Amino acid sequence: MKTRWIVTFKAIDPRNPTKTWEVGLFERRLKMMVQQGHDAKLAQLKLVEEILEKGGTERLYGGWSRAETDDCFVYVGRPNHNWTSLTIETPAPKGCLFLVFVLPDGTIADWTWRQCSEDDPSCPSGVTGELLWPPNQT
Amino acid sequence: MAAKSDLERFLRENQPAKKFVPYCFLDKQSDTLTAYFEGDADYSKRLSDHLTLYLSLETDEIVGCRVKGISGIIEDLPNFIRINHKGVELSIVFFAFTGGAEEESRKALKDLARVATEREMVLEPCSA
Repeated sequence: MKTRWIVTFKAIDPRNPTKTWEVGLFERRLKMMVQQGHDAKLAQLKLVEEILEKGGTERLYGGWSRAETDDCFVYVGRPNHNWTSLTIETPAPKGCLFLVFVLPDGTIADWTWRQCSEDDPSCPSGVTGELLWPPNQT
Repeated sequence: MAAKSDLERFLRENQPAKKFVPYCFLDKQSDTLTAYFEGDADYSKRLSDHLTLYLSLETDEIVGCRVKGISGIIEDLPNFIRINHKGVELSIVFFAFTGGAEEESRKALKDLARVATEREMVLEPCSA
């Protein structure tokens, strides 16, 4: 584990999808959200856990669709609910997928809802990386 | 009973402040600047390789953004502008990206700069 990760998850290993690898969040990032009162963003971490650890990953892409990010990853899931605060659960936003952006060393860089692509409802808009998992899909 | 996960433990031990306060931060590892002006639950919309907006799920208004490929801009800023005692005014960072941006991104960057000015947001120097 990276020494400054304070929260970790076991996610599908993009380099060997039959196994898992450890990904995590830096304390500094989380503590900042706590101090600034960013309840909604913290609450979305519950969805991160669902996507990464509880079988919620529907797709895993390699690359962040811009230069020099080919070795980064995007985990994509479709939770049927959202957390708009740590205590308020709502239905998932319509037509959206939930994305978790991960750096090559496993550090989680961001997490967010994103509209589905108009061409392919299984694919988030603006994500054009290589599909790593599941196999046999395009 | 199942063991508490790291996340459950962290959220239990770290109750967020009651009132949201706008903030921004640099992440050297991902070469990004993230800013949040409002604390609404949000979704994201990618406008370009360099700019992703965070929009309120309730109102579709811009509540924040993520600017990518930020390191060159930040390193060059001290050569062109005076930095106040706290750090770089965030609006300047947004203006720095408007030059080569497409119309939609340019409009968004101007909106972001305006909001950052209204909120008096400053990008403070910090380590990764």
